[in-house]
Amino acid sequence: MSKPLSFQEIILRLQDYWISKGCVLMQPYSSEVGAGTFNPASFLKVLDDKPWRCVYVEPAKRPRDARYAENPLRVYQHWQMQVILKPAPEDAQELYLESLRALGIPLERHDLRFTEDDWESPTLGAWGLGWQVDLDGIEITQFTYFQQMGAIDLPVIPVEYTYGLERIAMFLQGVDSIFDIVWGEVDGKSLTWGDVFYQNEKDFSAYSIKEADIDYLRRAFDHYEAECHRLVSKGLLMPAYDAVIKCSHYFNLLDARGAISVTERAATILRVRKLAMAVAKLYVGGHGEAEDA
Amino acid sequence: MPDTRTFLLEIGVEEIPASYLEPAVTALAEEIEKVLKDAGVSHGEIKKMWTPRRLVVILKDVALVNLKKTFEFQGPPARVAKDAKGKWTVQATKFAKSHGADTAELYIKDNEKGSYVFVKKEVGGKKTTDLLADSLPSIIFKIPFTKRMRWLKYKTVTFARPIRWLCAFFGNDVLEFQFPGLTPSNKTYGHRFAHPEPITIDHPDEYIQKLKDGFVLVDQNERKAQILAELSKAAKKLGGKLVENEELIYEVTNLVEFPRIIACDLGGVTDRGFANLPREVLQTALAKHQRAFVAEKKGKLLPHFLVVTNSPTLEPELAKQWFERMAISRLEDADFFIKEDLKKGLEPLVEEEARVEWVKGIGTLAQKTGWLTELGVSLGAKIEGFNQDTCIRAAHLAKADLLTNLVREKEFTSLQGIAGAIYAERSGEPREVCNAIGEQYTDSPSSNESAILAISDRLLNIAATFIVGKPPKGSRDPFALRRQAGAIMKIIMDRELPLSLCAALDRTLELIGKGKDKREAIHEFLSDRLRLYLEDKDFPYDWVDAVLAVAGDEPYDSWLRLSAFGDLNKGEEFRLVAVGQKRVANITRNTHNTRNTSNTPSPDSSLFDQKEESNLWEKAERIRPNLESAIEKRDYKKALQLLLSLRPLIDKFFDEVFVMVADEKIRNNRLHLLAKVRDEFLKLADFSRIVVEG
Repeated sequence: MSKPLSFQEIILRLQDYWISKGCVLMQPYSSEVGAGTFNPASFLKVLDDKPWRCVYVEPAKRPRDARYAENPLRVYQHWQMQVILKPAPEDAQELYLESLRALGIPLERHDLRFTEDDWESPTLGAWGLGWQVDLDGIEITQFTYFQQMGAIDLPVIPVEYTYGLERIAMFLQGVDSIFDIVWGEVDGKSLTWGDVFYQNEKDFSAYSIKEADIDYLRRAFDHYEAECHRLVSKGLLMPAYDAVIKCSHYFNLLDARGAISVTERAATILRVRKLAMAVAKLYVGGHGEAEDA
Repeated sequence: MPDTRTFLLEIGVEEIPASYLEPAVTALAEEIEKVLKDAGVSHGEIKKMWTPRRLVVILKDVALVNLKKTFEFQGPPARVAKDAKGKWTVQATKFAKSHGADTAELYIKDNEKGSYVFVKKEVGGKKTTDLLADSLPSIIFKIPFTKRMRWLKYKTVTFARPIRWLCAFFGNDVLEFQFPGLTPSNKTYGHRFAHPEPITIDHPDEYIQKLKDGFVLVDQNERKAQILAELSKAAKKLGGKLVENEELIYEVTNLVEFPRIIACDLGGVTDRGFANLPREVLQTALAKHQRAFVAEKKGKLLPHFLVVTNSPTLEPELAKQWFERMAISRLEDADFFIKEDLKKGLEPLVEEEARVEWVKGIGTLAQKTGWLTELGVSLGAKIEGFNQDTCIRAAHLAKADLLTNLVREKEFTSLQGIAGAIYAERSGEPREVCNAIGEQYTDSPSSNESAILAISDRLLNIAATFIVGKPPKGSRDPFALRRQAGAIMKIIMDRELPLSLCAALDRTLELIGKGKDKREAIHEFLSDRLRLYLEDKDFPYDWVDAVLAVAGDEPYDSWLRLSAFGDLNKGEEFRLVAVGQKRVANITRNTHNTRNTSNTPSPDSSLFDQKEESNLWEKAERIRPNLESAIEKRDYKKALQLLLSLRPLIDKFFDEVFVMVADEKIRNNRLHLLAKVRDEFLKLADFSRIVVEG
């Protein structure tokens, strides 16, 4: 058997594949996000009715999943590969399956399922229907036909594929822990995921769970919330959207610190959602093509 | 016999959720049948089939054309159909036009709702293919789904998931119809991986077989039977017996097109320390996460699990590796949770309940626990041999497991109750207490203490949800209150519990200390559920009406009365009683209230001047003590027999005696007599509510 693909090779193969299908290669966004959908290449680009196809890798930072590098399957930061095809093509499922074949997975010899999973992001005012894709019982991708974003009914329905790159790498490399994934080689010597991110996981776990300054995070949340509204009123779309992302991340940190009660949680999500809606409305207003929900 | 063809419709879709399939195909078939029936097109057997990727209806022997029939169509009310001068208005003209008629064909006629304009049209002779082609698009989009989505630019085109192909036949020909983005054809597709190429169908009769050749078992019954057979075989091969799980079989049948079972190994379970994992936890982890089945031997689970895959071509040795790894990782999680939970025990969690909101605006979980205990004691007081201590202890611990690590984990929330029972048992609680905790969410508790806990819990849920203003509405019942109330009825009947709905409800509201203004609404809701429960048990709705009208407060008593009817309903006798009681009810309606029968005056026998009067009265007087004692002893069969013995005398009375005579004294006396007799019947049921045909 040939050597399994390394983490970096998986990224390259998928990027190449989707570029060959007409996608433009974007890059991760320069701010902490909990999911690739927050990248403006997804959130904003799906709001209008113009064709759009892109692929990019995004580090998803989730303070609540921080486990001090002790859990083999759960980490503070994992890597998603995000693909958006707008409009969703008729062969959306086949295109996706072909991408797995491009990774050398003999689908016929495994059990691949499209399992019911209705995706929703309350903070983004977004939802869609689709599946989680399970390969021999491991969830490797979230596959969603977006219906709403920023509480706006989308004029053109896009499909979003979110690959869990670590899951795919574990599958291909046959390892039981994220930390054992071979990332690539440095001078012919193999480098693992753990080599690169162990410190990151340890430190950010401690930060997320124990050290993050709750008072500051609350103030920062309030500040960026006000700032977002102010910037929206000035028509400054991109800085306003950055403020949404900041609020969302601060909320995630406060949540991981256990600083948010059950009732406060729902209310805070609603506050972020309002910001996302305001920004989406501004974007659509500027483009004038989508309808308000 | 008209000339007929087979009709076939296959809607090819991207994977639709398992729970959507059966309701969708059922609705699709119903609508198609309705369209054909309304148009007078005859047809034969209907076959409903589905897989995650296709919804299929096959109708045999569908007539080529519909029968000619004359239909009368109702238009707008007469007052708007003609103007002051008696000329047809625009509205009337439009109505005529919509039926391809001339205003000269319009006419005005009265029906029960008033005066309307009508037109008669002969319809029929239309080709069934045209009829189907016209109606299929709207029928398809009318299929109801819990959640719908768009996938095209059209805002009105929605379905559970995108529709990707349509295969439609009428006889040997493709049935063509307009559809957004698709053209119906003679092509279908086989299994996604084993036979991805299109399959051409030449005739509907070969559809099932050709799909089978393409690795799709389109008939869900066949799939289910095969899954069950192969699971049993696989379990046997492992040296055990399959633990059946009807719900899971149904689900996996709807998740695959071509089942293939693989046996996976939990090898080294003992090394990893799962040997102590409770059976329910192991089963739930595997069922929820991998939709996997387990096998047992001598009551112990084998260290294996069986996965129903959707791949006829898979390599088991390759595929099972990850099923096993993921299963073991979930079991490790469960094992970790349980160890943490056992370190703590349930009692400290009961204290923590004070910090957890139960229902916003109603109270904390700790308060619910308190109410549960008190309500249990109140309801149990009526039950012979009820063990109050068991009930109190079980209620005290009942909700603690909601705060355990295990139950708080999404995958294991369904273990609520069961987890509590396991933890209670490991901390040495009596077996009866553990059982009651474990059975609180089921609808088949094994003891009266369990039953009372299960009922009390649901009563509190129902009351609280009503009080906060979220009762079920239409098809929306987010807190499953209907199911909970149905479970209350089932438990009462199964365990023959002497519970009064009013008393139970009053006590519930008294404990919560709120919701007096919602009492009527909750009571009506519970009564409705009782009615539905009884109707579901195949008691005719009018009997249920008759019994609930006089005895609706104690569900089990209503059940006993209805059961007594069941023995005697055969034949004419029952019908005649109903007819007689209707006459009595009609004639006494305005003078003698049925609500307060103790006020009904007795007739004065000195005023009787026909023997039918005295005969009836004497008989009624004679049976009264026996009737009352029969009712008292709940011997409703006997009570019914006694009442039936009055029947010939009532008939005779009506045959011979004229009640509404001019003489007021005589008239009233006769009415008193009838009302008194009616009151005897009302002790058992209001027979006047029984529907009599003809």
